[in-house]
Amino acid sequence: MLFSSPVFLFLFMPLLLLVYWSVPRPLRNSVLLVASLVFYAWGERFFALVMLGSIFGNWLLGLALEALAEPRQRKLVVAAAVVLNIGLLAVFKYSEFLISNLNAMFEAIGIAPVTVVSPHLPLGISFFTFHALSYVIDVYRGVARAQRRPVDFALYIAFFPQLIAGPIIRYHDISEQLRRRPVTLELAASGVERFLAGFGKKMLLANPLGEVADRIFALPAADLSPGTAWLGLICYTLQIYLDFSAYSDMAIGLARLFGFTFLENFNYPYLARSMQEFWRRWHISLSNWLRDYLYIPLGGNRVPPWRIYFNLATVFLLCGLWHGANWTFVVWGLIHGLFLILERLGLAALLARTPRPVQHAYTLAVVSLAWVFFRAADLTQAIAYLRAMAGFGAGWSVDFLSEIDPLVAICLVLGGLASASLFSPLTSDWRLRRNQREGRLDPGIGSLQLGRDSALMLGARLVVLLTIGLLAAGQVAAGTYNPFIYFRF
Amino acid sequence: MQRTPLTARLYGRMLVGLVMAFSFASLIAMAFKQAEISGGENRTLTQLPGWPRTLAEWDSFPQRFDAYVNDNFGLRKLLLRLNSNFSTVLLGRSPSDKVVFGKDDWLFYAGDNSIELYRNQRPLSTLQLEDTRVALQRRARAMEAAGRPYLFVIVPDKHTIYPEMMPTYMSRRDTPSQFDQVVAVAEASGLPVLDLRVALRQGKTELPVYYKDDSHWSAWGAYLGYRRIMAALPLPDLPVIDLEARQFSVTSDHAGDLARMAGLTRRETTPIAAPADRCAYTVTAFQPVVGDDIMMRRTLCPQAKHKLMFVGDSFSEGLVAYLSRSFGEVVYVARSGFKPSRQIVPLIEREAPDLVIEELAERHLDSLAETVVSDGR
Repeated sequence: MLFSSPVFLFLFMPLLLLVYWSVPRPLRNSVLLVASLVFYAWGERFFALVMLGSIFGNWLLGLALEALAEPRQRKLVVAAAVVLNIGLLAVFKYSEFLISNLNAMFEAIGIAPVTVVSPHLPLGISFFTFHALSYVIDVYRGVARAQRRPVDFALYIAFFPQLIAGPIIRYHDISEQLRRRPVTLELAASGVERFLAGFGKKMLLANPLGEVADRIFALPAADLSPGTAWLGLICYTLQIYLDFSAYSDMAIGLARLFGFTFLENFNYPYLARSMQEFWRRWHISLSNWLRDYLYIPLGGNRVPPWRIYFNLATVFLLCGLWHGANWTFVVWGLIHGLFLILERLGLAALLARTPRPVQHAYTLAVVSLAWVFFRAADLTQAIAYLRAMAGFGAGWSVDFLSEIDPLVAICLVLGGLASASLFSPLTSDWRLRRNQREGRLDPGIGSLQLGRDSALMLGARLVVLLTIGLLAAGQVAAGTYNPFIYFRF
Repeated sequence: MQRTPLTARLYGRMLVGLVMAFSFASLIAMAFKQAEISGGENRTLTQLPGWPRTLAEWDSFPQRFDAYVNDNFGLRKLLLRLNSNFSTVLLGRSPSDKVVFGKDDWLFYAGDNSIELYRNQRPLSTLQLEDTRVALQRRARAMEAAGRPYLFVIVPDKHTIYPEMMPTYMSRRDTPSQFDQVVAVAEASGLPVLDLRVALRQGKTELPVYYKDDSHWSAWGAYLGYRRIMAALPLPDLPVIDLEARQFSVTSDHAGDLARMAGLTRRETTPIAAPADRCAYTVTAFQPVVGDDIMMRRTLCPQAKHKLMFVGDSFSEGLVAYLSRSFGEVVYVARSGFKPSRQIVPLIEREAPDLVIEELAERHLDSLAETVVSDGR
């Protein structure tokens, strides 16, 4: 079930809000859990059992960790939890990739290929596995207590706003909220603000740009002029940020309606002036997770420089693989890892001496060129696309202009402005943090006060947000409009 | 603790309240909604699926329920109208991806790959062209064997006749269109294919040959098509209706399919002619003959002779007024896209007409090749 689908917007959410606010407080987590399971099963049906199995297994492991006092035994349990969770991910997400690569090697040395039925990839498995790992590691480290109530634990894993596409919530960030979460008018209003802003960002900007990107990336490389190829990449660069951050906005907004406060997931990443800063601003919940549960355990910054570089390469290779079982994602991850290493080797210091526009241009160039690998179906297409961008495709022409109709032009401009934080007055928390620097999110949501804004600002925001919501809902409706040209004979 | 100012409280309550009110209004409206047919969309709306009983039904239930909600959620009409007005008035753009706004209020159909066809981005491959030739030859030979004259008519898409009204930003490749390719193959193989492009391009200087708001030809365009068809038929002494442009002087309001698809409520004033009644022909209702996608109806004109079988798509609607007055009986077989010979030829044999005309819209030319596989190579 997508947040932007009619069944979610016009049936699931109003019914859930009605039931949630009607039942006594002790039953509210159960209501949210049942709703989350329906939300998940709507898209996954029988494979929902995989998630339920993961919830049950990790809950038992958490209890075992807390019950054990012997460090060696605790280590064994946490190791088992890591193996089980990564194993689950490996079976469902990576087995086909591993076997196809093994078969390619076997073919080269004349061994018969292995035939295995490709498993179905359950929705959100990358997210709920990382949630589960966060829980067992937090309990092992003593950062959080084991969750004795199965409903609360299951809700942490399966809570529908973050279940399919994040943000990845670390257990220690939310464990308290599973028991106590005061809902204030300000929190609910800011939740609606974030949901409407995200909803509009997705329906009114990301989707139209995505259509252009899809059309251009579907063209054969021989038909791609440099202009068209660059336009496709610009549209995709904007689309991926607008779409993904919109989903996070909606998730954060929805969670606030039930009293949960999720950490931010995006902080205008295209404003970054280095790759290090980019990763403080892009998919923050994933970079936090990788830092806390992978980079630091590998030694973090407390090891010799060569080990730091090795750790960075490892973390970003795995980061790439986490996004998808394909060599394109591996290359994407390695490009990011490589530039992070180069920045540590002196590139960052060199850049710091250049004017700001150069720093922005460098970051945007690396990020967007790497997106070609992220978007392409395979490495061959990615290379062909990059060649077309360099002029080795269909030859120079201005045929890309035919892709830019008035709507696309408007979306490109508004998408660029949205990426550059110019729409921060749209929500109280974006506005609160509009002066932050270096990708640091400050102050926290606790200091959120609608009253900081003038009556004029609040009035304007109300009108703009409701208009955005209506226009985005109109787009949802348009998606269901399916006129039939031929006569009903 | 600092108290939230009144304006902020008011703002918070209004924002949350209005969003919730809209959401619940939609829920309530859905509960009371009863429409089964959407006139604007020209289709039956999906009905509430029954309670699933089998594993397979459970598996498909969310999909079926989604389809139901998509068609029936509350305030859908209101949102569609809002979206349509926003797109058309503020952006000057069609709200439907099946309609393109051209110049001077002209609307063009964008479904069925029509835009790629306009831009010549979908040339038929050598294999498709060969299969197209085989499909046409197979049909023509079957008719020839039964001693029935056969004519295959291609009705051009609106953008082929009015390319100057397409949006400027839509560039075209300077390569042969699918239409050009099929006509060239037919000519080379001596197949009876009639190309109406020249007649319509000439005719558009006198009156519009296509509606602005509709994907189909106007009464004048259909008349020009009819005259070209009649001129190409081998039967002697057929009574041909003879009209001039100035006789198309009766104004009529037409609700175009493209305007409807774009959610526009406007109606187009269009000139029609009342042909001299050489016969008061009668028309039967459409009846399904093969599944739901092939229908048949007939017209009878006692004052005329010969039985015509006309296999066509929605463009044949415009021809009815003329063909039905020129033949004693016309059997209209309605279908969209070219159909395999194994479906059409038995129908023709059953009706035993004196001649057969088959009409196909330009945007469905690629369906010719597809029938070769289903008919067997």
